[in-house]
Amino acid sequence: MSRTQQLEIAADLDSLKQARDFVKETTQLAGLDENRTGELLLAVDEAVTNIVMHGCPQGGCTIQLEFEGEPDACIIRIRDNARLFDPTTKLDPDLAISPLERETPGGFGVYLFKHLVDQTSYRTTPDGRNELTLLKRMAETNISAAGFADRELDGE
Amino acid sequence: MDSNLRIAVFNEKGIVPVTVVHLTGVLDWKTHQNFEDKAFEAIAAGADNLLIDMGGVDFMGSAGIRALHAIARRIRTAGPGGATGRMALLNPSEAAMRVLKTVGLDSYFGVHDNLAEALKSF
Repeated sequence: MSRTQQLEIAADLDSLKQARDFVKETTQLAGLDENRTGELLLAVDEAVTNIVMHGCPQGGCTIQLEFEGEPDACIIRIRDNARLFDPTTKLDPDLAISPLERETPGGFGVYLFKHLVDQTSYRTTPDGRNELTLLKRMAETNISAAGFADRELDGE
Repeated sequence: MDSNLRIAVFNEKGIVPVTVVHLTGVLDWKTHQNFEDKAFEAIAAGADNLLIDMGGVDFMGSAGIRALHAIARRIRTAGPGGATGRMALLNPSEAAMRVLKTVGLDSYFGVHDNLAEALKSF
């Protein structure tokens, strides 16, 4: 049986700490180890930052975080009423290029959250919001193909 | 977890003078500009060897990458007459190293475990 908890925050940079604290508290209670909590916390921070800075730079948007704890994974769903955008389709930056040669260091936020969790998915909710789902397994496993291929990440 | 970043800048005498920027706290989009500003001030005051002490960083996000990128590009021409200045990282915390490694930045900056070794690298 899964457990869920929710937090609603304003889409602004002042809310980042609240988002991080929410992830830390919920995932540690669920038993996620410290390193994996740190990775998920960073992933959520980057996803929320992306909404604040690119989806709703004018302000006034709301972000809802939902934690779902399952025996084998922690799932965070991030719903927002900012501009519709699927960040999972964003191309990765070319890491072979030295940071010193880059004119701008952009694109790392999405790269970070895509690479720090085990699964990401995106959908537009029936009421027209973005919903990004990040799944972090409780432990490293080799059963991804068998164990998670059919997991429904789309939430409600 | 505090949401602030405390920044201390001091000078160390190695083989050459090295300016150490010591960070404690959260390096995110709320705080990265302050870090950049302090590092730029040091460079403008003549620092051309910069050591960023990241041992006290409780949290670092992609804003930290942006700041390190900006400072690294600025220090490139910070030496006398526009010569190349140098920048290295000291003792990154687990939170800082997570970001550096994930995006491969740890291989572009010199990363040192202790101050004496770091000072010798300049």
